[in-house]
Amino acid sequence: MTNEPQGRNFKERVFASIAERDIKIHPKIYFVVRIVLLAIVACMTLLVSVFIINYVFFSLRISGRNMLLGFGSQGWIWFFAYFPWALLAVDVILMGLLEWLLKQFRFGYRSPTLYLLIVLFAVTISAGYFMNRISGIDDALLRQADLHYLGGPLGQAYESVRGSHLADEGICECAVTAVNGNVITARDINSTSSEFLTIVAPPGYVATNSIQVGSVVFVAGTLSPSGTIQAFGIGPLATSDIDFMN
Amino acid sequence: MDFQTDESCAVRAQQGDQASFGALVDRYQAKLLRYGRKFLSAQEDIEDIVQDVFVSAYQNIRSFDASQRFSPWIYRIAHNAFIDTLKKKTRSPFIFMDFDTLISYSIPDDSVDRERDQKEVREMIEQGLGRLSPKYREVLIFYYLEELSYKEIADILRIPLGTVSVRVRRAKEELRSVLKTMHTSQHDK
Repeated sequence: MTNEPQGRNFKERVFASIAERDIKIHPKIYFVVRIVLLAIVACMTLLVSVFIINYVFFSLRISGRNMLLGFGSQGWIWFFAYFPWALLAVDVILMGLLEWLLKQFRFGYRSPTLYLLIVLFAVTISAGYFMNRISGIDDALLRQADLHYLGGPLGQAYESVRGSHLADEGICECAVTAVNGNVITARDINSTSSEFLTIVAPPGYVATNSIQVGSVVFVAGTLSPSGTIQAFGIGPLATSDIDFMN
Repeated sequence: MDFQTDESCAVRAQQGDQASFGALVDRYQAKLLRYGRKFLSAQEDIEDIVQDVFVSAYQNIRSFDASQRFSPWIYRIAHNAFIDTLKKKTRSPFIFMDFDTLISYSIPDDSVDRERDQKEVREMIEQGLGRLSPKYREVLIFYYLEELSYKEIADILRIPLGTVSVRVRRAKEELRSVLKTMHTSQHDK
């Protein structure tokens, strides 16, 4: 074969290069550690992603904004307007990172990208939902935040989870102080102001939903120039949620 | 050494047997040089790149899983080295985006397909390979010139099996189109 001398030259050059550059064979443990680190980073990414989705569900529930979905088309528009899109964007980025990490494994790169992403989103959203509903971790963290035991971004997130003071935009979480026919007088529980709000409930709402003094309700409506909220939706906040209210 | 499989040579190389690694260099140098020459342009110093591929293979030989075939493992290292070379040359990041890995595709029986049109495609490849985009060029080299299976190509390129089959099909279509254009322009002259 005419290739033989050239072949020997090439092989000698490979070994000469290994010797010159003092190349050593990486030990097996080097690759094991890499795989383990990769798996740990993938698990951590999944956990953070699940936790963010859990927090999104919790924030919607605790702030009462999930009720907007039951307030008709205007409620849906407001729901999307006040949805924590930034958190969802962070989660999408984490999903992308997780997908890339899983592609380093055989089962990952053999799966079509879109299907893998759909499975990851389904798993993350389901796990986040059940974490919110079953684990009780959010309630525990909220108690810690109320006592200012939680620091950093997590503390800030849970301290502000009930929603900001938005009565000026027609949204409030209010404690009812008086009921007069269809007109409710209430105090915004997220406001430090002692000012009372006047809310005009949708026709027949007060009578059929037994709104009483002391009830805590989520209100969405349009703010008239006189300062009255013309509510298009009112929903009672869950007792378990009210327990944490200030 | 010749009676040993690639995989058993690799296992001995993992234990520090340089002669076994040398046997692997002997077996794969021509294949990798041919792959490099077909995949990259003639201006590249293919021998230097392939030499680095073997150095990298030596350094990482213990990451080879002896329960798998050796050829996809070494081709994977070569693929990475060649892609890095192409990336250094090109300014567009889009040629390496894999939109065809998004969904699954049906996988035809590759052995039947290969038997049917190998001779015809081989001739076409010789004439028009250089005019194809890198991702199509590469699957044709692996499938028709290196005679690797869809599964092996999927492991080298780290893409789903169905994507390999669809790339092979699209590569042949693009190749036919390129050759048709070439022949038309030759007739016009």
